[in-house]
Amino acid sequence: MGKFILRVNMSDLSIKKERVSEKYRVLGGRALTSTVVADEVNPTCHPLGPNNKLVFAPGIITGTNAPSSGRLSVGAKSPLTGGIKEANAGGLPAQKLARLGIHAIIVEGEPQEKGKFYVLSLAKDTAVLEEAGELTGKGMYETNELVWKKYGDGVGIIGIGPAGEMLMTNAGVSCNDPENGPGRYAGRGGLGAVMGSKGLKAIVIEQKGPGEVQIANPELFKQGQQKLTQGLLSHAVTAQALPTFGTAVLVNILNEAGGLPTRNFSSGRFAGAGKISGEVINEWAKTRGGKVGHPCHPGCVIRCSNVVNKPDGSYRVAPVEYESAWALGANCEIDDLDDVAELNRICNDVGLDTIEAGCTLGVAMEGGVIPFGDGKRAIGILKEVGYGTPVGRIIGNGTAFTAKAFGVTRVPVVKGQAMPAYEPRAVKGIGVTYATSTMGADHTAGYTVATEILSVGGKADPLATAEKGALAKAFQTSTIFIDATGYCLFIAFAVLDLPDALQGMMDTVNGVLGTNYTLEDMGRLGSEWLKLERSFNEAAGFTKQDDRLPEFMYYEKLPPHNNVYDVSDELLDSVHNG
Amino acid sequence: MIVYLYGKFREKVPGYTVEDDCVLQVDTGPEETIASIMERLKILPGEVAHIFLNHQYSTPSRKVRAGDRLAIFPVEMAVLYRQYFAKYEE
Repeated sequence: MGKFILRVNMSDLSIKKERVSEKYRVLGGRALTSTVVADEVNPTCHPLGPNNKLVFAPGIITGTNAPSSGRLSVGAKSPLTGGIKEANAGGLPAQKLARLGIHAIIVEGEPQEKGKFYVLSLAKDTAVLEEAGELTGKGMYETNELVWKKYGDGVGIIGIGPAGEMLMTNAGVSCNDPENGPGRYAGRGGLGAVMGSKGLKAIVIEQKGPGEVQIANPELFKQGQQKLTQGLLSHAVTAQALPTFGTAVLVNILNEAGGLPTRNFSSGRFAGAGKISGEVINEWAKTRGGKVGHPCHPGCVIRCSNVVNKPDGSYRVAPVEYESAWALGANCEIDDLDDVAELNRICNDVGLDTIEAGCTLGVAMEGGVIPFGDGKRAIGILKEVGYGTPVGRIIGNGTAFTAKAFGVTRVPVVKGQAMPAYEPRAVKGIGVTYATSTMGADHTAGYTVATEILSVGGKADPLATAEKGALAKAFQTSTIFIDATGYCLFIAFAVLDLPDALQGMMDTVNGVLGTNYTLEDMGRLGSEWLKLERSFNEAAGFTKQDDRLPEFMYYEKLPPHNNVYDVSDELLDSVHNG
Repeated sequence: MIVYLYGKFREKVPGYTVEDDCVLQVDTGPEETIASIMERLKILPGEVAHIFLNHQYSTPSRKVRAGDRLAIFPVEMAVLYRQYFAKYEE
């Protein structure tokens, strides 16, 4: 069985199976979603109208037995930023799609009957659109439970909660984890609202076993798979830190760095950081019976996910990641991890991106809607998103929208998207990424691969080199390459330090595709794909003035370093034009 | 000076909890460095992932003074996009 593309037209409810062109054959993940969007979507279209398209694509490696390679990319024109968007997630769906031979799903058009929702049911050789029926209006926990009851335990689910159904621009796309929790989100950029605008409540994927993933050079693939696995299992970050503490280990670290955004980005330190840290999550796993070292998809050897239980030992949510603990905790001055975990659960249920939700609550608190630090009232207004009340609809439309609604001028967004958990005034390099990413403020857009690997800037700190712009671009090009493979971005920690692991990654890509890509090709291809995304954004109306951090960061000093953001506009402009 | 300890280094402070700050008050002599403080606390260089002196990402060679704030993270907590941090040396 060869790979194919499924084209799902929601206007006439037709499904077509299309062959994969050579141009698309060598693409996967973000490279494929962005190429399809650039090829088929008018950059000036309304993101929630009939002319936007929603694309789902497993990575190049996804579906094989390569470690930590189960990512699903989701792409479209973003209703939050107005530009091109890709968000990706782990969970069950990506591997199952790949093993059914599905290279991508392109969802287009819009339903003739507004407010009517459908489920796309996929299995070997079948694809059917069914009315969503009782799933309509349901939160993601109940949705997933009902889907497993109807379609069988273990099916993959891609879905949206009420926020997506109500077309709120902070709506994310949920993927279910191995226990059927909805917490693996392609969260950023409002792609859940695009899915809602298509009238698609969920995609259900029935698939078991290794499937029929094509590998052009099995021997090379196997060598690469072994090298990368060995690297991941020997590196301190991927073998020890992430499985032990999860990503929330960063709470205490960034707090000590003075770079943990606190109280709506007005300080880099949070007095209550220790109470919402990965160390506490680790401790609770022992005392409450939750879990650390939890894999978000089968075959992940990093296992950075966790399960956080209630005080009585019952399940509350999975996972609580660093970004979520920070956004719903420090940024709102909430230091009760139970409240933070409950806010996280609401996001997962209603269908919201936790970063955007936490930043939104931060500006709402600054606007006087509720006090900073009041976890219980934060839970109350976040629940309103799911009810669709006027306040809920404001909150559900994200940080910039909420700031306008409540007259707040400290608005931590770039291109309309809220900033993640690294304060640019304290961590200036990541500020370059936030400013110049095609995605809006996005920490994952500039994840680093070693400077020496890409022969840019040497081994020194990037902000101490004369090639800062080129280095920032190198980060972005290497990141988009990893996003295309379907590997979890956290493999970069091992790839960063271990040449064999890097070669292993390249060998698996070449093994699957039958290509002879070199490390230079990694930079070249990444650069081409970034250019494609930039071109889309330019056609959508973005200029270099959009590659800037919010104004307040240029004049408000951030404690404890008391720095402003002083990276020049010229440097920011040089990232993509140098 | 005050030393903040994280991860397994917390065990050097009797009665520690993971939710609260785990701190040691340490007297500093002349020419004292982060490395010499670590040696006094029986922390081996290979056990350490990240060091922050007064919130600056630092090497063990930096001198320390009374009133400084030093934070030490073990290898088991080595998650950081460290390329983004300027590393301060003496």
